[in-house]
Amino acid sequence: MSRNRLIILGITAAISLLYIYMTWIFAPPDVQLGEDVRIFFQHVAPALVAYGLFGGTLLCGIMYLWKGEMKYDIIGAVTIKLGLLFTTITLLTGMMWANAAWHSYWNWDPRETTTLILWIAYACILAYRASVSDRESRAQFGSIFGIVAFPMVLLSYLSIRIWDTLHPIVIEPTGLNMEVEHMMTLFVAMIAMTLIGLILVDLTYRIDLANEKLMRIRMERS
Amino acid sequence: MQQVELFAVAVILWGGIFLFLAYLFLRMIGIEEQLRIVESQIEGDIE
Repeated sequence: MSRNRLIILGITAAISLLYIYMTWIFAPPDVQLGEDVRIFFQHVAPALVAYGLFGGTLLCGIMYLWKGEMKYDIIGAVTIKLGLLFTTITLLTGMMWANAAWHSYWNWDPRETTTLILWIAYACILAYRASVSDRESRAQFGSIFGIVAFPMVLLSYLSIRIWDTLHPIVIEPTGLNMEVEHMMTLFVAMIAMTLIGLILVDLTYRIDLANEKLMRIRMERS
Repeated sequence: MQQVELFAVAVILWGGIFLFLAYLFLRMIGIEEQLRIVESQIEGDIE
């Protein structure tokens, strides 16, 4: 492993430990939610990282269709897989928070529903990719689907502003609507989750790239 | 939500993240080593 990667890994580990400390010890209980507010930091940060990853899918799709380089297709597929992982964490922690705040795990709230549709849309793209054996058409149509699915990310993000919802609006145009300690914890949570997301992208990309090369060699030799 | 439930969420989430990172790291080392061996075999065949 290169020196730069080790440094990034060390920084990520340190910030992650700080994130754990701030979430579970530093952040005070909320006036309304009490101790349950700690779920909030495990919910918002993965959600925003998932949106960022799906944004990466969009960019990779555009770049693949423009340049035609296979690396963009591989990174695009990686961002879908990891975006789905982070969306799953978001949905699960969101359900726990919903149960604590509204006494029901699932309420068919606009944010919950649009996020579930978002998850299904990207899961369908992965299923499509897994079902097509032709490398070129998988990359082309996978890129197009990655671009076409992106408005679902915007709809999921804006759903709490478009429809009446139970979901609180935390990010206002004037700033964050929360206590200072909670704001600081969320800030650290965002940095930690983003770094973890980037390390996962790097590792998964290297695995998929090596796998791709091995498959090509085996096909050429058989 | 009870304190113990919150603690369980923390352990599952963070344990899951670190286990997944460790799995990916080991898989990356394994597959890059496999690729290196195959590529050196091809170079050997060409020579």
